[in-house]
Amino acid sequence: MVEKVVPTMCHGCHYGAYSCGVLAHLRDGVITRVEGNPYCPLNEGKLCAQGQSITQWVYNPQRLKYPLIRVGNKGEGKFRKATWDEALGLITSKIQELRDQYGPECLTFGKGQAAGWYNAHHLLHQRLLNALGSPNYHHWGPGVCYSPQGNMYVLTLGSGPWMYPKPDYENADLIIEWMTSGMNATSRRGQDSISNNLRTLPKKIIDRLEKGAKLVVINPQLIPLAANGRASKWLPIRPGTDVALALAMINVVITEKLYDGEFIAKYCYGFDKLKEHIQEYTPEWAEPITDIAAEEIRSLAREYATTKRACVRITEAPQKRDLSDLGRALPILYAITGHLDRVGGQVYVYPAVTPDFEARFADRISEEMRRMTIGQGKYPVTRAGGYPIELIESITTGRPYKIRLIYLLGSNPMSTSRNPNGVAEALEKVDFLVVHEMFMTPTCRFADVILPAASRFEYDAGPVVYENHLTTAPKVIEPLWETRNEAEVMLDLACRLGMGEDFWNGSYQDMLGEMLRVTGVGIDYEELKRNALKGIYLPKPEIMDKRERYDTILNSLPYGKIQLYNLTFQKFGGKPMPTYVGPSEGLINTPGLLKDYPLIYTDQHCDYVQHHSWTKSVPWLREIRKNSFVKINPKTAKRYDIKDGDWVQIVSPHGAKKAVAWVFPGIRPDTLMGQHGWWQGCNELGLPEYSTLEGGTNDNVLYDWTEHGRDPVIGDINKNTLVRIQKTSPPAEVAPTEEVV
Amino acid sequence: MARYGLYIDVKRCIGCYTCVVACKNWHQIDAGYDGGRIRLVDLSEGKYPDISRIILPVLCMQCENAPCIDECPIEGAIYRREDGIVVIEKGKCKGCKSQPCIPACPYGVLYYREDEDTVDKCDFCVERIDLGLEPYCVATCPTEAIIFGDLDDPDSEVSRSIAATEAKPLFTKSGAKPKAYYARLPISSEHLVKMLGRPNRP
Repeated sequence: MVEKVVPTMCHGCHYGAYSCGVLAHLRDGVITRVEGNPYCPLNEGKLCAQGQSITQWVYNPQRLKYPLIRVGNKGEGKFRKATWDEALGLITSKIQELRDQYGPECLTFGKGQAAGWYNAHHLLHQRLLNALGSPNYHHWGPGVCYSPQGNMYVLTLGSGPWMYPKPDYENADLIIEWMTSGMNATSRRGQDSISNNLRTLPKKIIDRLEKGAKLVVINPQLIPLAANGRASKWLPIRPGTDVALALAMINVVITEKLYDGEFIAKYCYGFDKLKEHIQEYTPEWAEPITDIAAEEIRSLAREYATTKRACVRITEAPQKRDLSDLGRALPILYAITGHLDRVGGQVYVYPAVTPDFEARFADRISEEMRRMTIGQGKYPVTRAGGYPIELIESITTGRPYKIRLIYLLGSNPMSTSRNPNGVAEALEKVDFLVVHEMFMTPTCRFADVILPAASRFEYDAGPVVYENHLTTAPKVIEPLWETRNEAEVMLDLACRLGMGEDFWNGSYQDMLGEMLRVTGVGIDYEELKRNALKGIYLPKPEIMDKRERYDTILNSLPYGKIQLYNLTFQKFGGKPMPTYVGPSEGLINTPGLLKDYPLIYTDQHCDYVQHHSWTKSVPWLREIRKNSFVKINPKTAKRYDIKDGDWVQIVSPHGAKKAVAWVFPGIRPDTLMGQHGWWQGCNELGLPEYSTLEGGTNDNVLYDWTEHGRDPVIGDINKNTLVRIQKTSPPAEVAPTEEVV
Repeated sequence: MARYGLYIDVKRCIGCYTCVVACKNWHQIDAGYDGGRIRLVDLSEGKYPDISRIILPVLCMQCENAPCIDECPIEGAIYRREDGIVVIEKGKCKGCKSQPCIPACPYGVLYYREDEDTVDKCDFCVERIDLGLEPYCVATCPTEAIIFGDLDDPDSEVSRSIAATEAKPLFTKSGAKPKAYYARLPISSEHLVKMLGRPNRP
């Protein structure tokens, strides 16, 4: 019996490259169990529930095992086994054929949360598309919510190496958790230069609470972080009204002169205009909208402004049709109260090095071609990749032109996009769909070719950095069945397409070597691997521990000043200062709908035991959270004769879905709180797969995805609506796909 | 000889289920059983918006007066080690039909495992303890909410923590003399029992 321990990193919760350190225990070549790596500075030997379930992820029998090629009609779910050579040969010829016939712009690549890492896989996917000459990179992971808000931060505050500053919990005396699950945003997300995850974030907050700091939670539900008497205040804000609260807080800070005048004079543009603009947004105005008492709003604003070391975590994953307002209002609040890049406030992270390719080939896309990007020009602020909505339109209407080939890495728009019925139509109509995935998702069912992905633990990852700690996550076992690393497959395709010279002649090791070389740290990848247990500490750049680094943060802004009045917005004809718009359908916005749709519906993002649309097949996690749920207040449940555990149907003006009622006293009585990402069955627990279409278990059918429900500046789509609820029967189960021999 | 016990700081427990899954990972116990070696109790009460939510882990308290040992019909199938840890001897436990040990426990920490045809419960990870390590849930809790150690050593972290916070075991009326001390519970033990809706079992 041969026992071995291999240091690596979790496949975890996030898009960043550096994750919690893991020690994988092997017996005779099989991972038997895992524990946290005590030498990893991010998690210091701890590992959350998702990390603990690694063996059930890697060895999950529901995984895709070999390449599949479609037989029968698209969406029918009939496939036959194929060799890698046949599958990649087919993909290669299709790319060439379609590109030659329709131009490179007909090709689109998209990435969700692939089995691989954001860093290498993401960069490589984009580079490949650039090399093919197409501008159509669609990034439907953080591109849906995280990046759009980040863009607003950049246009208001400027930027560090990363667009978001992080709350400086370790030094804060007041901590405001706003629309988060008390972890990182609403997911457990690991390091992505915000350096917060389940290990670090709650512990940092709790350690500070023990030193006398205060915690305020702003959330329609009483999140676990606020439990056990931890929160000094829980403000159960009405969903969709966060901008109103933010504006009212700015109003208090300005009218009561609680702002940092010196900071504003030196670093901000437009204060006088803001002062005038904000007059109408009083706490009294905000009270009926947010359902938070005016006095509470005043008290919070005063406390935040007058507490020197105060930080705010507002979700990095909002989905609002007033995102361009929220994404400016919070930064304005940080700035005028003097909390930006100061100890205990919102600070930027400056990692020692950033692994990358020497070239991403963005310059191979001409300006003219870039203007042709699907979704480009539709909104004044360009996003990193369009929304699936624009893609659906392109394929189903042919406007402005038809996308003909889609190549997805770990992206499941059938679950994660609004208008899944529209996604289905588009995927059926697109000429060729390739999905490289770990599981047979509802998106895979429309594929022409399905490629089985190796998990994170089945290949060497690239070099990754957390602050000044450089390391990598080595392969633990050989790829199971016939699975392959997405990056290696992309390199293989590049060679088959005759572009090998631009892609390290297909050598994954050479690619990793280049990423490491770019950092300037003079070691090769093998040496980095050998040091994977403890990693390598690089010298800290001087700037890392500095604060008030305004000379670099602000220099992208007009006049080099924080835009309280936004000149960029003014230039493109947008609102130069945030206002309150609110949700498409809401108690205050659309009272006429209340008769038929009396309750607010929104959904929470991830939670402690699940992540997006891809962890539901893991038995240890699934047995904790068995069903697509909707949290409902006991009073509301009683009113509709609903008991805990009942299947319920939820109907909005746009669609209907089903979920299991979770009666929870800590949710607003006027609100139902679901969760996105439910479709997958768990065979081991006998739980079936449900549809992501209308009538299934997908929240995305409920929301307004038309222009009316979207932010006019950046196209973000709102995640609030009004619904009615009633008991119902369980949804129809989805039959497994058929493998034709 | 040490007398092992736990200090559980409720103010640090965020109900993240790490301990629940970690335990199954470490001991390679499948999902799907009606119970586990450690579980979370998550209760809310009050009239909205004055809601109070309590979340805390419950595991075997290695009672000094363990009712499970008393009720077990097989000699030596459950026994207490010198260091106070109560262990199920898997070779002797027959997973008997009546399984009286399960309802005997005031804390509901025993459960039946179909794969082994025995009853199972937390044993403070004795294999780890015998190697000088902590129980795995203690080692991996992201907020370090659980401390393990020798209750008879006044200088141990567990003893000092219990003393500093006046931590108490839960539901001591049972007479089982549990050795897990809960600190900073925002409500009384009796109140917690009421919230659970059952007289003496979480």
